[in-house]
Amino acid sequence: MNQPKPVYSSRLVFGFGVIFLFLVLGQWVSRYFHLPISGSVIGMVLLAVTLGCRILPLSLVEEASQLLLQHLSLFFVPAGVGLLSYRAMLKDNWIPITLAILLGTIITLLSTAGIHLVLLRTKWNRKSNKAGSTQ
Amino acid sequence: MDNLIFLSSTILVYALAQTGQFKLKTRLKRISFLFHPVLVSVVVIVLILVLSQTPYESYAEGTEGLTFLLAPSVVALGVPLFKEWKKLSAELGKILITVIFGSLVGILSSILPVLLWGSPLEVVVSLAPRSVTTPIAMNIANATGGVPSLTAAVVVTTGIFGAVAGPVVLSILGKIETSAFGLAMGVASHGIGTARALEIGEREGAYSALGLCLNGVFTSILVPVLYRFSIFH
Repeated sequence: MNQPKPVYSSRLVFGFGVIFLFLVLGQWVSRYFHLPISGSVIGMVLLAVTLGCRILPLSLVEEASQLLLQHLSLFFVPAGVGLLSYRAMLKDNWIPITLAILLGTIITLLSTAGIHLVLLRTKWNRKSNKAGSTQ
Repeated sequence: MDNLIFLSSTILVYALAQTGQFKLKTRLKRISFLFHPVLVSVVVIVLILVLSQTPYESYAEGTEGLTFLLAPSVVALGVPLFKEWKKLSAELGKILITVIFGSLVGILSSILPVLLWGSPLEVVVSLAPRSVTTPIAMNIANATGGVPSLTAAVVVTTGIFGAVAGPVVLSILGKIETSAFGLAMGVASHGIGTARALEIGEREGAYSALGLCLNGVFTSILVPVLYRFSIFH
């Protein structure tokens, strides 16, 4: 980011083309194999794998990806405003639904981070176990 | 093209909210997290729409362009995922255990309150995939007989709440590893949480993206399985 960049960058345009290509690929895969996972998530994995296999140079997609991800939050605003149209649906069950969202999210956050911390801090005696099992 | 006014106003409100949060950060200190740009923008725009009695449909039409960019943005998460892959792959086993556990907790913590309340089955089923990104969650709701639009509403609320409160909630655990932070954000509050994690750092964002992705996979498997064993009834 510190280096001066050219005003016009065809890499940005390339990058967008590639990202949309992977979106289309992801959607194909999702539809063809009848997967419950959305095309965009499959596209994300495909993109990471293609980059990992060095088929695609990182420099080609880096700028476009950075541009999109820097403003990712903005793209969620219309969906958030959409909550407005669901008011009627919540009427009878809004208390448990709110509880599920608030408590559920807090519990999920803490237990996910918690178990990962436990896993990270547990000393796995893998070497000694292996030594013990191979007789 | 009249509705384009909503596109420009959404971008401007968001930009103002972001600038405002940045400027007030030092003054608000502890409560600055409440002024998350997404939350502020949503509240302001909802107020404007309600006060001006604008139907949501025209707003949605005008802002289609922004919503459209969500899908390529999720694809773009492949880049941080690749960049951090060396670190991620070294601890993949632990990450998988964490996400499977988090996915299960996410589902159970969503359905318990509504089950105890005695809500109808379709509400319970709609809430089960609450913590995964909207398109995946709607697929799951569809497959199990939920109401996809209720699912979408719950998913978005979860995302905003997680993005706003997540870092504060996680600070209860003290200073935690980047991986635990990122995974928790991605598993508990999908894309919006990942956007928040990316604001903190690229590595946080990468863990969060992986959490979001794996949670999508596991929740897609777990919800129908739990449903078949009639845990929801």
